[in-house]
Amino acid sequence: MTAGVAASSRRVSASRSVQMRAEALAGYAFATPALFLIILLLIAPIMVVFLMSLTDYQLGALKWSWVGLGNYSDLFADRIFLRSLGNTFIYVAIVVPGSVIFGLFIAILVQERTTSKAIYQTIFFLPVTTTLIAMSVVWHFLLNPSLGPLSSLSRAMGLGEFDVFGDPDLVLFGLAVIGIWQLVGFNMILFLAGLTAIPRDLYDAADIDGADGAWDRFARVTWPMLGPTTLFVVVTTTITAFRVFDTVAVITRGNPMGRSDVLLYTLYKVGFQDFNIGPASAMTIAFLVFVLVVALVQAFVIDRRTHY
Amino acid sequence: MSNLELTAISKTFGTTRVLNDVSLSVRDGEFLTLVGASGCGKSTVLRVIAGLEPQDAGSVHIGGRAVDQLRPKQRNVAMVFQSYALYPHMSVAENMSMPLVMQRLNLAERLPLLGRLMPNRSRVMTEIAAEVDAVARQLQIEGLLSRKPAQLSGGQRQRVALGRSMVRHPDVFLMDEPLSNLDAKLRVHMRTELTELHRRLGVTFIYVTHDQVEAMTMSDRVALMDEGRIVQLGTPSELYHNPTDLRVARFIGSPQVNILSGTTTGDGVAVSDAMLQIPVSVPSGQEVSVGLRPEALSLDAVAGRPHLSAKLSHVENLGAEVFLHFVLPDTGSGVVLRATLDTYEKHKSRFDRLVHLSVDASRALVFDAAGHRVDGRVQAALRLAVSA
Repeated sequence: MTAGVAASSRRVSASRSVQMRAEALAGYAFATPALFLIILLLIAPIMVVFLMSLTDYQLGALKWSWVGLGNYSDLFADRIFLRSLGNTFIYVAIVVPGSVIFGLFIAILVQERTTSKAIYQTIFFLPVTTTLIAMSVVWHFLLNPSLGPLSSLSRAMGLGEFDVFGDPDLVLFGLAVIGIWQLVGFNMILFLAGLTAIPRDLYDAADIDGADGAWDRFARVTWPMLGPTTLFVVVTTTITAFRVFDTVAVITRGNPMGRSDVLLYTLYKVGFQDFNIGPASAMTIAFLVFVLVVALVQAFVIDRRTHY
Repeated sequence: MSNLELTAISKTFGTTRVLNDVSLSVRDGEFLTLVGASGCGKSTVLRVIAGLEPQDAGSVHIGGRAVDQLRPKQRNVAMVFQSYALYPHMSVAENMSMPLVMQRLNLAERLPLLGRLMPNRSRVMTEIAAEVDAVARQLQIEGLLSRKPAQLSGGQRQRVALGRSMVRHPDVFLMDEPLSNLDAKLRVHMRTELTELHRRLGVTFIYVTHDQVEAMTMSDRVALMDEGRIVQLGTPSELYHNPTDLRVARFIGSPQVNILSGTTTGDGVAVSDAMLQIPVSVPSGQEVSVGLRPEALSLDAVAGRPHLSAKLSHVENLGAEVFLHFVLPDTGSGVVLRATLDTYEKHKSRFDRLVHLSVDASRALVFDAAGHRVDGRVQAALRLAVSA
């Protein structure tokens, strides 16, 4: 009797484990296409780039050889690369705070509108929908020292003409202004979503507690409650700013005197004008690492302080 | 002196009139509850008192002082929200300190980093911490002061919200459905705790709820609201035993009052097969609604009392008492009767047939078609109220 029970329970558990294994297999089977695509489209290209960064391959060349980490050590001795890295960091350091603060400021202003909210939202979002290459041409004209309206204005005011894209000290700021102009709308939309999610009750409580001035409401409720949104906005903006390319390629081509060389533009020149795929791949990997580090630092360090 | 006076408050949102000529006088130290179904305007009254919502007409006086032009913080009221509205990024201690910090530190001293350099700040902050600590001890949350709201249970958050409202010693406490997010057991417990707190503080409480049990058990007086008006204001017992309006009779009491349709005759009201001898102030031959509380009916025949013939449909056994649901065969309407378990057992054998429910006509509530009380008893009560 007891033996029978034991045997049947063993059969039950055996059949259960068979079923569990079948379910697990089915699960993996369902996940396989996605996994295959992830490997094919994301992981494999990165691996290929990494492998190429260990070679001296030139585009179209028939022969190549392994050079180990040679490309990387060359990279960090390369003045042009280091300069474009520095320029990129300066660009990011201007664009990220600029577009985040402006985006938040505009979002708060737009949020308080009632009937005109949709109109303002659309206007500020317009730059996001435009093609940056086309808009670069427009900006180039706007800031042109002899033809541009801004220059005419400064001439008329007796300030003389200024050449933003020709002045080594101004060129990065000029590009950063375009970058900010393009990102503000997107950040505004994200902040608007964050603002809508703040419970009204908190502002009522703040009113009753005496935090009813604009500054107190912002500092005690709005800003802390926007923590997660701000984190997300900063990460996406940083990554977008790191990828600055269009404006440089269209307007300055790294000039004057390499003061507007940025990472992706240098990478493009090395890889697709000089056909040095090996060093270009090493730059790509370096670029990926920087972006990854930024994302990780922000996700792990700041994230812990913004979620409650 | 912190009595509260609302005079002819009206408020319109868009095209809907949410408050319609609401006047209310609350005595110093009173526990007054605004009760009503959702959308009746009770929360808006609270928000008008707090100054969160400006009224379109009428005025608010707190302690004899008109506060209409004052901002919420200047009215010295405290509010507990249904959602508690705790600041999620602040610890319990910071949440509770907030009203005092805003009151006692100036803008410079409140600045995030620079504020620490101001000479006064640390002294004031120590004082505040001591006061917060004292309130936390009263509420038995002194062990939670360093936690964030997300780490607290519903009941603990409720206490923190209470604590935040207590630290500033307000003239009036405003509570907007503070118990409705708690589970049933905790709610019953917090009911006692809140009444206890009210007794201890001796401060005016204005309490908003949709739960008539909370209104009945906690308040000195209850104002029942419907469609932006106060329908009846009185003690819980007045509202239960002597409602002036059909809406009040229906809203107060659980199980609900039985409403049966009747017709007035020369000497009373005919309801189903019973003839209730009650003086009414409407001419005979009129349709009226007769409200009978479940305890106005009894299974035992009482000499001289009229009776309704009814058939038992089902039984709700609550242990000590039972609610018996009957159907009147001629109209098909249902009535509920409250009986002790013993009475129920005694009559159990008869329930397969029609039974006679005796009606205590002296407790019947008669309402006309517009829902106003028309029996003699309410007239007497109203006369009494006027002369008093």
